[in-house]
Amino acid sequence: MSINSHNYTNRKRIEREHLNISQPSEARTLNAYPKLATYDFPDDAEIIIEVWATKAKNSLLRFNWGTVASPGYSSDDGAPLESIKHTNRFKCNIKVINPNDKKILGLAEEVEFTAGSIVESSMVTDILDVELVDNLEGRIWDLAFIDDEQKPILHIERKRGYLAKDDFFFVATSPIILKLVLLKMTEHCHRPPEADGESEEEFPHWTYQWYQLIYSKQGFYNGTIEFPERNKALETDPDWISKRDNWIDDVVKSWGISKMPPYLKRLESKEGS
Amino acid sequence: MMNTKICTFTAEGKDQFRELLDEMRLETNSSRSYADFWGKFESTWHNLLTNRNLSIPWGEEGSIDISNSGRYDTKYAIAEYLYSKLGSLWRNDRALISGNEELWSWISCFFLETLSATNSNRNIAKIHARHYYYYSVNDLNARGFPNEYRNIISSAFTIFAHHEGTAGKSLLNTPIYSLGDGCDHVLSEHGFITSKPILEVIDHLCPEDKDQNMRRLSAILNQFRLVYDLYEMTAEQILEKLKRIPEYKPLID
Repeated sequence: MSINSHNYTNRKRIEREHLNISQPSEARTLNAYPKLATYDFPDDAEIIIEVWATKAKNSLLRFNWGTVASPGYSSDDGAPLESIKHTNRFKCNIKVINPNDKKILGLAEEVEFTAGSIVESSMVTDILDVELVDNLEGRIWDLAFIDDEQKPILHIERKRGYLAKDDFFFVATSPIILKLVLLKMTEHCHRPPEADGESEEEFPHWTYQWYQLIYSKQGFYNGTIEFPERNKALETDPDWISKRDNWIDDVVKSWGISKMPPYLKRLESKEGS
Repeated sequence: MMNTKICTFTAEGKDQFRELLDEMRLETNSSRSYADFWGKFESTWHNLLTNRNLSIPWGEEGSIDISNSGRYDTKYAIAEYLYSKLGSLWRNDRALISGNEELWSWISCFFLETLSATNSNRNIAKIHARHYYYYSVNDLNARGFPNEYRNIISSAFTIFAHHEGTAGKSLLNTPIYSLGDGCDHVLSEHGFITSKPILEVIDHLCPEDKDQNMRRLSAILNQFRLVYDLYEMTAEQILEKLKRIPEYKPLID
């Protein structure tokens, strides 16, 4: 059976920068102000926004967002997300639809956003969540390990929430944050998660993600040191701690080489302007 | 068998339910009869549901009666029963129900005597992976995908509740003892179960879950979803598009 004939669609990809999705810190609502003038969609094309909780696909909500000529939601307060209570992390699709045959003319897919106190971070990596919190007892940020899995989450003082996207903050803090995460990873992950088809229950999910971030083909680590397996190592290998520390140093070094340049470049251009 | 009020688990109750499931799963890997199996775990299970440190009454004034003495061989049967108990809450404020970890884990535990069998004869006991019974919105598998939709009872209820039993019968008229390949694939696709026309299409083309037919149809509909706004289309419009697939043409004409 061939289904290849359905793939060619002429559908346009809507860039995230044209969506203008707001991220309210308190209200559980969605607001978006799509700017679609450059895409040459018909004026009467309909805009639909689909929202769902990141971890629950069947929580899908759909909102009519007007037309290309007149985009917007019926309420200035935004679209209500109250019926999804168990999370404040969401994804959405923005679709531009031909009203006649329901064909999708434009699509922005799986755009992450938040409504509430947790923001998705692009700061350290895409897999480290950032939570804005009210009281850090004088500190600006802190790395916490939460839930049964001890998943890392970066706390930033709420009034300095802008730091989550700040280049200088990234450059100054990401090496130590990474170091702390790797240290925790070696505590929780006795063997590499991809080893011999381990069942998904063997490892905390977050360690698997980080391992992939480091060692997969798209990973950033360009060194040769293997993950420091801890399985009984503390009893049998007196050098395990120094091996672990060497590995962490080497991974952080690779991190700096592969991830820092664009941030440094942006900082330099700001200094120059 | 019990008649009681619907409860939710406390944090300790959730922990103990997880432990119970893990113990049960180990036990069903051995060749033990259902009667022996249930005999071993019944008192722990009963305590989990009745000990007020572990389970606390839920709902308006904590007064929704629930019984597990009925016979529920299919997902439809149990979903219909639960909708008779929770339907008004679902219609008025579904956020109370949807995604409620403590509630769905408790309800799954309440029906564990049924869920832990392999069929209505109850000869053999079988406990699958924990997430089929322990409901968690934070439980991701190793590939980063959520397991939330795999809770058998919660998913059956959700399919039924969205359409009050008028669509999705091909998914719901399947045994309660496992999630099933068809359900797993349809539920994993983006919002399919919230769309009545999509479920009607599945009911029409795959009245039974066999030979991975639902898995294939889900994959095809998922491709169509990227081309058409399926959720705004009628079942007839979707079927018209599917006519070009040889497997479905004779079923549609």
